[in-house]
Amino acid sequence: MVVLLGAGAGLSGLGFLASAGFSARDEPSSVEAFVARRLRNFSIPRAHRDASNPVVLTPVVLARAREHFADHCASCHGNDGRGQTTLGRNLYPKAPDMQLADTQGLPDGHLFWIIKNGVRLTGMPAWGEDTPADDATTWELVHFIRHLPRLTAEELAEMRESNPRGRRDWEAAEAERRFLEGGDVAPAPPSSDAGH
Amino acid sequence: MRKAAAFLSWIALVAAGPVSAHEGHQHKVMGTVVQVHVDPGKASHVEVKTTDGKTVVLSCDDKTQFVKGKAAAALRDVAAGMRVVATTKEEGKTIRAVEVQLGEMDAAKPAADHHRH
Repeated sequence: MVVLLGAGAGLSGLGFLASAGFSARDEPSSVEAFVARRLRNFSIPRAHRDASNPVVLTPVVLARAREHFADHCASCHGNDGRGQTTLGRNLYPKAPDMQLADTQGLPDGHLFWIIKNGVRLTGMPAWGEDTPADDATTWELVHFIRHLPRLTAEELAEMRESNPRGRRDWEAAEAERRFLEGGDVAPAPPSSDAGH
Repeated sequence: MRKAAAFLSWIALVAAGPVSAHEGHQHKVMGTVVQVHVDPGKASHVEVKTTDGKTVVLSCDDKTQFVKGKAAAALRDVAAGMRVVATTKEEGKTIRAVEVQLGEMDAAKPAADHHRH
């Protein structure tokens, strides 16, 4: 009887979803977030979770990681790691605010594994190859993620220069710079959609 | 076992939640500040005349970032006659400023007009 009721409820739920549809724009429910977080933690071997960062933090390391993050990660995560980008906000689950405790509270080894191996069924891909050089780059990114809550305006301005851009974006950025400095406005101002 | 757990979790991940409203894309607004309305405790507004002659009212809150060159700035640094480039997001009928880059004062515009309520 209970099985039949459960099956009936399940079929009703599927029928509702089939008619209403669902979208990646939605915010995951607390149940989904809980399950996804547990599944992500489950994907990391115990031996790797508590690994400490073997790369010594220096200003050069931080600068290199900052540039790498701006070029490879900021499209989804944003230069400040808050995930407030068109891609980050519309992923399912959303790109997290990495300045908050949910990310900052993770052990270094945990962050390393997520960057290197990605997270299944999310927008987070696996980065780099399984080589010492790529692992070192990933550990440098872990240092940068730790630094996110203390990013300065100067660092953010530098990162904007490293964000991937097409020719039109470069031209638009140049037109904006000229305008802000008091120069003439180009015939076709860059009032285009900045979200694409 | 892991594959089964992953599959069950995938079902839980995709099969939930109603469809919500479409959040707007980000746009750029380039123009000269006409007025700044500061309303403590509420969203402030910056009225901008764009380079193509339209008037746009930007809503600014504590999440809006202001930048002057490479340095951080604030709403109090915005003045009438100043050239700005804003990254904005439409939220219903409101145009929210995500980031505002501050430039030079426009020589053709009048001096500061900062309204406080």
